[in-house]
Amino acid sequence: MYALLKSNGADMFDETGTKYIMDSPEAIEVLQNMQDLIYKHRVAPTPAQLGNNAPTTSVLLQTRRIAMLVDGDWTLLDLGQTDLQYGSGVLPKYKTPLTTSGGAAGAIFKGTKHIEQAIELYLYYNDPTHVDLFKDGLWMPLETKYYTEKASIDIWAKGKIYPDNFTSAVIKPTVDHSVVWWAQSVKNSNKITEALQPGFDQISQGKRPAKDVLTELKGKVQPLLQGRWPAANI
Amino acid sequence: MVAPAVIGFVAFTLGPMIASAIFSFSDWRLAGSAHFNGLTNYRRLFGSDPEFRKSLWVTTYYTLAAVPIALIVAFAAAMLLNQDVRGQSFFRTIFYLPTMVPLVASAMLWIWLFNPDFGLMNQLLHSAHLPGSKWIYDERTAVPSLILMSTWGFGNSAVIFLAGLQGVPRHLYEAIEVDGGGSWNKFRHITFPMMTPTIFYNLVTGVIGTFQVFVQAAVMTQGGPNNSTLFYIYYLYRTAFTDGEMGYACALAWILFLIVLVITVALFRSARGWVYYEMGATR
Repeated sequence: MYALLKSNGADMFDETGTKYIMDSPEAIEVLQNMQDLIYKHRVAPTPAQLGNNAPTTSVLLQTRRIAMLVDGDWTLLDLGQTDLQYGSGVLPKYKTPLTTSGGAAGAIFKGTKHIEQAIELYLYYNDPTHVDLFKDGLWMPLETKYYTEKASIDIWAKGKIYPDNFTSAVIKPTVDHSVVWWAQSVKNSNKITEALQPGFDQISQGKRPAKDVLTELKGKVQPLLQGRWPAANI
Repeated sequence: MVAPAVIGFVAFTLGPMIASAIFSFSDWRLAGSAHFNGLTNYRRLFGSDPEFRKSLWVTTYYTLAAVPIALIVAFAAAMLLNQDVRGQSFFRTIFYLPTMVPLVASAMLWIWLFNPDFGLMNQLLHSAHLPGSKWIYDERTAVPSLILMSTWGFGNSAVIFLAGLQGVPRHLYEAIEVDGGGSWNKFRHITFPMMTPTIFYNLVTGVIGTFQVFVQAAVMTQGGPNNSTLFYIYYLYRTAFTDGEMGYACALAWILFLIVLVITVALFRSARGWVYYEMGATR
């Protein structure tokens, strides 16, 4: 959803992370379109049909209850365990084609006595030549060369669980057309998510039009905004 | 001889309780140090936390419905199980079995039963030509669905009721038969009054238990949809372990403790009016 928002020139919060802007016409359009896919065009499942992770999305694909889904790269870990024949494609777009990227941070404490060992461990477990989780489909590498150099791409994304067009459909867009998931930089993201979720529930349940919900959410989310974490210069 | 029990109580119950009472007056976060901040947490609780009110309401709603229903069902089942019929112990086992299923496992089971597309519940409704429900996936039906699920686990209270029923003296029934009383009179004037201590016990434990309902929200609904199953303990858990606001969560815990305490005391007060102990006024 976040990539679609950005693709339509919208965003959830302004650049400083202190202002809620999901009530813009562009954002409303995206959320309304998503609701319409379920209740107007009837081509997307309702939350009830999806179930709360039971069955899981890979089982939904296997049992042919859904034909397409937008999900994270990590889903390949589960899909690779099945005998399902699947492929990958690019995401729908509005103005610019975009995908979302994000990751869990690995922290090294400033006060550690073993800084060298900590860095060595950090580099080791993020290296696809050592760790199978990349080949198995759970993780994507951090270093740019694993997205741009064929020899390096082959180290992780060559196995049979990766569809043939994975490089053009996933790897290239990740490098050239990706936005960073909002919660990576916005402070207080847990609380914000918890405030947003009931609103998104109402949209996905088709109870109220996106415009009403997104406008109303402003009052609930705005007080929680505390700006963004300082960005590192990489 | 009592030392292990006392040590266990102090280390794992009393100690943490005192600690949480102290931390409830602090801004302690999961990764960080605690600073005393007076009544800030409690002020926020009562002043500016809509989710606190929502979770309290959801939990109260659940308790008000789940406890009476469970009591009635368990009592009725216990009356049936008390009949002298063939296979009596078989039926007793069957009705008790759901209690043996771990709550998380039964929650997973009920997710499947509640599935609106191919779940057993809607299959049954459809086969009777009734419209299906969205069960836990709809705001209005989510809590009633979970109440239905909790009623399924009535076995524990049924066994306690059964024990109570067997403690009702036979000679009272014989006396009422001599006086020409039918089965309704037996129930109204003997079974029910004699069972009030058991009902009272199940009521109190039931209320305390349902105020702490957690697993259903954590496993089945994650508090949704639209916070309709944001049970108090689930909200407390989320505050403590997702948001890391330990100090605030401690305050939430203490408020719940006080609420349950007040309700329990009120129930005990009311018991004087309707619970009959054979030994008269000596309690």
